[in-house]
Amino acid sequence: MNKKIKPWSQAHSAKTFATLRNLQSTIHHAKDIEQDIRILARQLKEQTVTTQIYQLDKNIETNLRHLQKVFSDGDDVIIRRLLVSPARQKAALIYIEDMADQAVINNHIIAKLTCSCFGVDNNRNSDNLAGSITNILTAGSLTETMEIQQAVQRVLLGDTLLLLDGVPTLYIIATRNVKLRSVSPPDTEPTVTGPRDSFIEDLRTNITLVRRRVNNPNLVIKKSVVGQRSHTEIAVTYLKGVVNYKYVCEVERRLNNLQIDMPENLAIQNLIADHPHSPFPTTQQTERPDRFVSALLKGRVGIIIDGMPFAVLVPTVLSDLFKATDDYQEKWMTATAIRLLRYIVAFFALSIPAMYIAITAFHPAMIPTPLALAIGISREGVPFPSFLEALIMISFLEIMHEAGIRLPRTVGQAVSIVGGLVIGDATVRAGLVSSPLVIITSFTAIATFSIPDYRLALAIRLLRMPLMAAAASFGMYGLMIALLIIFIHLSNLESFGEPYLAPLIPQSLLRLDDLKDTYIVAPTSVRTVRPTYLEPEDLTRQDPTK
Amino acid sequence: MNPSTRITPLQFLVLTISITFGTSILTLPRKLAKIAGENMWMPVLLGAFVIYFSFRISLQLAALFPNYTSVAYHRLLLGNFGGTLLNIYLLTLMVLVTALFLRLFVTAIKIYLLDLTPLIVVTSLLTLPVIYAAQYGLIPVLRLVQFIILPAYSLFLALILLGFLSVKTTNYQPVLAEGIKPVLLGIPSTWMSYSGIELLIGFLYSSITRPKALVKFGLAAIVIIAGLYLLISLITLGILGAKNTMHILVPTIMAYRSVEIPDTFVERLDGYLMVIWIAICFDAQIGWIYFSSAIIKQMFDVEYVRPIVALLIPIIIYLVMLPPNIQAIDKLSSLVNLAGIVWGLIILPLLLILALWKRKRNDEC
Repeated sequence: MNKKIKPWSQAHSAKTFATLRNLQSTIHHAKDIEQDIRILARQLKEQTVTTQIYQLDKNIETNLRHLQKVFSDGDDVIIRRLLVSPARQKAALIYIEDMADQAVINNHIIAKLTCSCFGVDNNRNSDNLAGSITNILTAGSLTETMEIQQAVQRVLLGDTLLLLDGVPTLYIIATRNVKLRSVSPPDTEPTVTGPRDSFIEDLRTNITLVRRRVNNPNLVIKKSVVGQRSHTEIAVTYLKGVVNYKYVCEVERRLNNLQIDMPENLAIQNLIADHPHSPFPTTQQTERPDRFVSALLKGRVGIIIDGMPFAVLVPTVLSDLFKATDDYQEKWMTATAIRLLRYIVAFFALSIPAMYIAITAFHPAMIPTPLALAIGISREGVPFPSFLEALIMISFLEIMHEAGIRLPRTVGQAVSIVGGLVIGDATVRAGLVSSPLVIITSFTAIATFSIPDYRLALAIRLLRMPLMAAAASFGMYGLMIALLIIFIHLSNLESFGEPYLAPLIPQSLLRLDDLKDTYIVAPTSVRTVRPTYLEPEDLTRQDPTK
Repeated sequence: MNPSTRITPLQFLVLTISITFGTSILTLPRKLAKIAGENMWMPVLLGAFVIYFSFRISLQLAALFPNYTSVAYHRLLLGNFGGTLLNIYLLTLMVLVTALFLRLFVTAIKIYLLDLTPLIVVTSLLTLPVIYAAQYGLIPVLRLVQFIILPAYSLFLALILLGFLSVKTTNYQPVLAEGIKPVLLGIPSTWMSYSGIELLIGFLYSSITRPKALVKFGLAAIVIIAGLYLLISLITLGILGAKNTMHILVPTIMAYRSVEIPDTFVERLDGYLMVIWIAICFDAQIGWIYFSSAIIKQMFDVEYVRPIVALLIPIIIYLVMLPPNIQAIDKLSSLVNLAGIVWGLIILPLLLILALWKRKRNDEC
């Protein structure tokens, strides 16, 4: 018996194992297929719905079904059905829960529609109701539309949509109530004596801040939408009669050409810039409404972006990035001195570590003998060449700078103390760097912070390293050649057709007026014309005869 | 020239100064001291008058062809073959001037700043960025030249004026001890130092926005350049004396090396002068290389200038490396100087006479 069973069982057990393995594999495979099918089914079910495929219908249920699909059955999208008194006609409200003002909806829409105290004709038909709806509702603004896309867009911004049965029209009621932070002092462009308000993340508030300063009907604010998926609202702003329309057209052309889901972090300024591969900013960001308005009055174009506490100004030339609000608040002589100081300091922020390397490694004769000796003595025992020594210190500085931005404010102070101790004292005591280099590094850091435009300061920080490498390779000659290459780059740059160095290098003697607000800050009475390089429609800023 | 490229007289002035005032400051005092001795500053002044004469002839000639560049009107005047030959002469002259200036510059850099770096590296470092500068045509080049000129020349002027601190007035004496002859003989040696404006005007005239203002602006450019050369000659002579000046390879730098300003941060000026001079020289080189390339561009009717610059630069580097020593450079310098004089004082007047004659004949017909 055993003899017969053994071979059978052996053969069958092997077969069984093989079958089981196959079965197991099939089950796994089936599970994978099931998963794939589920994903596919989900994708089919939740495929993107565009508003274009739906048409408005007389039947409210059809319209609601379509809108539900458009809003992807989102939980925050509220659909409130109601019967309009006294005809008990079907109606529905659609709004987004936290973006619409619930009080307005309750008191000015629902209460009015369901109230029978208006003496409305019981026999009225849907056309009668549609005709009198503007009188029934007491909300501030009511817009009729036949386009689903427009209506959906408004709902997404916080407005409420009213649908009536038998009426192929959508009523958009202004109920926007987005929670926003209040207008606060600017963080990145502080001022001593200037205004204390700054842009916030809301487009409408920002427009108000601008309009409050320019009580002029010629202030044009053209709204449009960018981002094929985000539908980010932006406003192109300019002053009619001042701006040269070539800039407005160019801005609009560039914005219309944007084929992007959503501007990454709403950074429109990078998307419309002339030279995306240049470290230098060819657009200007500002969080100050006063600076924004001042630029509009000079003939520049502004772009305000919903969700961004910064507005963008174009065209931007290098000298714009050296201007600060305080320049115009102070006496012209002090303002001029400070402006000139900024240019000099920016140059030193860029080149002083490289100069240190060139002088210590190649040309010690360029500095007075006692100073050269002092540097030589302090470098004694430092194991690194001056380039490496400077590279270590500048890298420390950059790390601290970056950490200072990223860390919470409470921890930031600790980093400053540690950084100060490490850079200031411990590295010198350890013999890793010389003490003159600590002074050079500190000066570089302070010089960088005194540049008014953050993005220009970033460019200078970036270019410091190649300059140091050039100085380490060829001394002052290498440094000068590297600086000249940067100057070539600046000469090649343009912003919306304007040379980046525009007013700094006047094209002709007729354009010398532009210099009154570049290297210097001339008295207001002398600055009678707008910048000529912007070719404004009205060149005169003030009549000098009056 | 691209019709959209318009140049204002101010830009022309800046371009002329930057192109002309390049490398000659180093060698001019040596050359003049050999010929005119203690009166070496006089040929500098008189040379300015000669170049003004050449500039006016060139301007008058260009004004007869207001819509053409010199490359085009040479062909109109001399026919296709003759015009092309003349253009090749002009081009060769410009390329040689560029190479010669560059060689003098890199030699000085090698002696005083980078003694261990090979000459070819120093040359390449200065010339290769020109390819990048020529990327978008003349206007960005003009912007660059304008951007550099103000800070570079202001600092340069401040530094050279400090040289007066070490000047010994006895070095200027005796005045005209050997008569006027050495002074007059020194004038031709100044030609290369002033050369530039008479070459540029023919090429740029058709692009100038207000051609009538060119006389004024051209004169201003020559006066500024002459003033700077005069200052340098006087200071070098005043510090070193005529005998030392004629025997030192680069007397200007040596003169400033001996200037001492005690109890200040700047003890010796020569290093700072060299550093600022790099920017000034680059400003000049970029102009010479760009316009040489632009002549080739027009001769062969090529669309963009950048590839030509890229092809021309290796040739210039080769020419820079060619002279084996300073004697060869001096010989070549004399030859190029002569070629420049032939262009400015013989060919240009002849072309003007020919153009006037042709115009008169056409009017009569």
